[in-house]
Amino acid sequence: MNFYEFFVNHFKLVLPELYILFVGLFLLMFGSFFCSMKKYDYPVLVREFNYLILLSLFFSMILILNNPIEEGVIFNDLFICNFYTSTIKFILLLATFCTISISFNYLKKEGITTYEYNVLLLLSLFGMMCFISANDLISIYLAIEIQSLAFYILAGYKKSSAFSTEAGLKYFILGAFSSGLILFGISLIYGFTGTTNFEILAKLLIDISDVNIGYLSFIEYNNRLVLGILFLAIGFLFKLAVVPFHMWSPDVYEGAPTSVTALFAIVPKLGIGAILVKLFFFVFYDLISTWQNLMLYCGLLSVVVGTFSALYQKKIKRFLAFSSISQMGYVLLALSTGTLEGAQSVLFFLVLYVLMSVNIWAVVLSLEIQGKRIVYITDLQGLSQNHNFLAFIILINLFSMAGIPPLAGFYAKFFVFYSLIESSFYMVAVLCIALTLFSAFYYVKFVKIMFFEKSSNSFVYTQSLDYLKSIVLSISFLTIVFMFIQPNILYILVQNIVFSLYV
Amino acid sequence: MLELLIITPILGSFILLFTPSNNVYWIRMIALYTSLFTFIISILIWLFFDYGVSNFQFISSFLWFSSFNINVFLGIDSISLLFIILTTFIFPLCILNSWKSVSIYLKEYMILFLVMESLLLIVFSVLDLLLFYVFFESILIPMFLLIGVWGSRTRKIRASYMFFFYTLGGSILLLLSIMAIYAEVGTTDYQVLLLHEFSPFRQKVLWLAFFISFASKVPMVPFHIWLPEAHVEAPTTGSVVLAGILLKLGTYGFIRFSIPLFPQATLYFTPFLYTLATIGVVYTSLTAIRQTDLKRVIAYASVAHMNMILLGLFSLNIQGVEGSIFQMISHGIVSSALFLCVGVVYDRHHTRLIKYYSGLVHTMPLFITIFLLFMFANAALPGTCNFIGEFLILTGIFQDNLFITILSATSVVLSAVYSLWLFNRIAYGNLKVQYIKQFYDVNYREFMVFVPLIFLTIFLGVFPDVILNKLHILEIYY
Repeated sequence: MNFYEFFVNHFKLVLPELYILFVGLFLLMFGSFFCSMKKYDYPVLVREFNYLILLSLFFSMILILNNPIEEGVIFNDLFICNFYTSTIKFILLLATFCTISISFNYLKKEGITTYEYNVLLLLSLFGMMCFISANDLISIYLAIEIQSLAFYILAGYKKSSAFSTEAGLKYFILGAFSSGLILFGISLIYGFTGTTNFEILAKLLIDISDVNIGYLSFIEYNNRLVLGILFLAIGFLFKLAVVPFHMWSPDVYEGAPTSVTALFAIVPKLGIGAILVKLFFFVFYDLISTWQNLMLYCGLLSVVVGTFSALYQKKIKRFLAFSSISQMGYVLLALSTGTLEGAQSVLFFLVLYVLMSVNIWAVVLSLEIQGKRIVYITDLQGLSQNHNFLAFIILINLFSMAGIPPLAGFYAKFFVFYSLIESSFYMVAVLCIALTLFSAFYYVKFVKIMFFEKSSNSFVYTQSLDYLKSIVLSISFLTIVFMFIQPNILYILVQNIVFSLYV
Repeated sequence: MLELLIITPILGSFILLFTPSNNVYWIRMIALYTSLFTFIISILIWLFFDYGVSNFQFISSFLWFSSFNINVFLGIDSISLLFIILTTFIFPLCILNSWKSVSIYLKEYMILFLVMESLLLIVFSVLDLLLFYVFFESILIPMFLLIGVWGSRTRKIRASYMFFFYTLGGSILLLLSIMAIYAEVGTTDYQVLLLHEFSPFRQKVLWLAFFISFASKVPMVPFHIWLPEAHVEAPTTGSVVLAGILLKLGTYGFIRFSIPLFPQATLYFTPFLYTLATIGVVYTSLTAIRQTDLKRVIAYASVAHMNMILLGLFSLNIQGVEGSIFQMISHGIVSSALFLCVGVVYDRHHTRLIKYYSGLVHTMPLFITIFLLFMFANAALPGTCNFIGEFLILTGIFQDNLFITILSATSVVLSAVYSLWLFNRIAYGNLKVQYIKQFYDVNYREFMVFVPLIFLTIFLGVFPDVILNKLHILEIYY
């Protein structure tokens, strides 16, 4: 291959990813040398490394916006960079920036004193950025593995807690299993079509469902391809934690340290959502009859199971896990419509989901009761007496998740339902909107506990609310409240993203 | 002009955000002056309104969702104008009334009130279906907080839940039908939708979806349970806003959206609606007689009056429709005044049970006079505004269906029964000194709150043409 082009042009397109990777490796080596030197008294560098990665994320965001070459397919058709990938990478970096900035004080309080936490964050972020700009099934698999391995270790990070170790082990086993499923699907697709490249696959499969071989349709004759696509889809659905592949998610969310849970809840959903949109709206779109029913049933089941399970939860992190399961159900329902509005509403919903999750996890990370972190929902009793405005922020956030107008979450749900109605999925829409009503019940229960009950003996404090966290909280709160003024800005951005998929 | 009207309460609440919480005097002053200023602007709109034309006036539009062709389109016609005047008229009275009765979180209370006023003004003036829904639902949050935080006893949680979920549950189907309308027509602009004809089957389905939402707001009989609970547990001024304005949202939805957009379905479902409304009138009037709680009687009376309004509305002739709109305004005035009266008594003795009150005329004669006037108005005594409304409604229904007229005319008798019996038990008789030991009459501020309401009740009763004149142009629709 052309090495001149490889080293001169191709690396310019992966500058953001390379930067993140090298910062991660550099910090790893620096930390391993510096933190074990007796001369400097074995320094604990977690806080400084945190600030360093915030800085490197910021630089990486600038790099994405100002890349010397804007679009291209590189590394022998393994990677692609266009407006779709750069925008989603930017939003991912922003989300990770917010997630890291809200977990500073929590790390100090929980006694996470090893710098490898930050290095793992950067490596997982590298994996995520790679799989968004992947143009080939193999590169998606490799990037998913990098990201998942970093996440497995992060989930079990607190070695002193059996809970955390259990969470790490569960996540590892299920994640490895789902990666195996993805690999099996890729091998089936390769065995059948002879290629793993997205663009070649897309061109190969144009109008394929009209082809008839004898009396069988193409799909019935070549069910190996269908099986491959299904395995691929199911592997990704495992990672997204939708029903019936969701069992790992509440336990892992609860066991992992809260800042890691915040990372799990906020960042990978957008990444995997973006992959699903690219896979099923660009590559396998013409075989829609294979994956549409899968997405529809998984989405419907997710909404049902997520809603009804969240009604019974008593712990905050499990509650938020089930709430995110039900919201991923809405994402899958919008995905299953197969229309352009569906793809746009998937990405719109995911961006707003990231916003609302940043807000709610910032709050969860900042409250503590009797010196320990809050575990139960009833620990929030009487929050409105001590911290009036914080309770109001939580209220607005929860109402937005429930989909009450005029807050931001309403528009997200509106577009999902609009794409369902437009594709004539009437019964699904009626059922899901009834379930939205049920979900409003448990969000309102939160509000009731905070506002309407007098607090018992123990008080909830916000000693971990530092400057950076309050900035993140307030900006996300203001965006949720004032999104109703011009939701068009975000929507046009999302429209451009989806249109640039096909360019 | 309309943007100024809507922005003013929000600006007031924004200024209130920066006022320190312990500066009670300034909080009250800023809230009161903001609402009075809004009232003055709405009077200006009333003066500049042209009653000779039937199209929408004071139109302004903003780009909102241009990629979806949904834009903010503000405009009023005479019905909207009346409701806007009613809203901006009641809110200063509410704020004046909550001078002393709100003891906790006064600043947040006033902010919620001003935000709610702004949202209500937007609901009545927006001419776009999706935006109507957005702001129709967004009133739920402030009202939910109002009932839950400032309500009087622990049953308030149940009451606010019921209010929230009955209303939300009703409106979710409205959201789906708005999306279906948008998918068919391509826009949710009201004036474009008026020109579009839906197929009869689709009209019926959409009418039913709209009906469920508006019926739980009105409230009609199967969905009315939230109203007595919410009214009783809410603070005084919360009840006033609820009865005076929020109930009218449902019937406003019927006038504005159900009837013009789906005419054949309206005619198809009129018997169904007549049945439900008549049951509502008779059943709730009978229930009101047995209540032991002051506010509950007035709440059930509100349900009866609102169902009567619906009966007049769906008779679809000029007397019925004008009567129902007039009755909406007068019910807003009279019910608000009744709740304010109950608030006066509650502020003094902190109980609403009828059995503790008796013979109040001996110690609070001024209050009892005012209360008597509004109780007579509730019973639709000729000379008060309620009589005009009810008479016109009954005339309207009479032209449509004689049986329904006979059944709903029993409401005249029944409303007199519960109103006068309630008044009798409270006002006359002997004082029950074993329960209540200190009496003081209405003070100046409370009296001034009642004066505009008394004036309007009697003025509209003897000269209803002030309002009715504005509505004649609507003959073009009906």
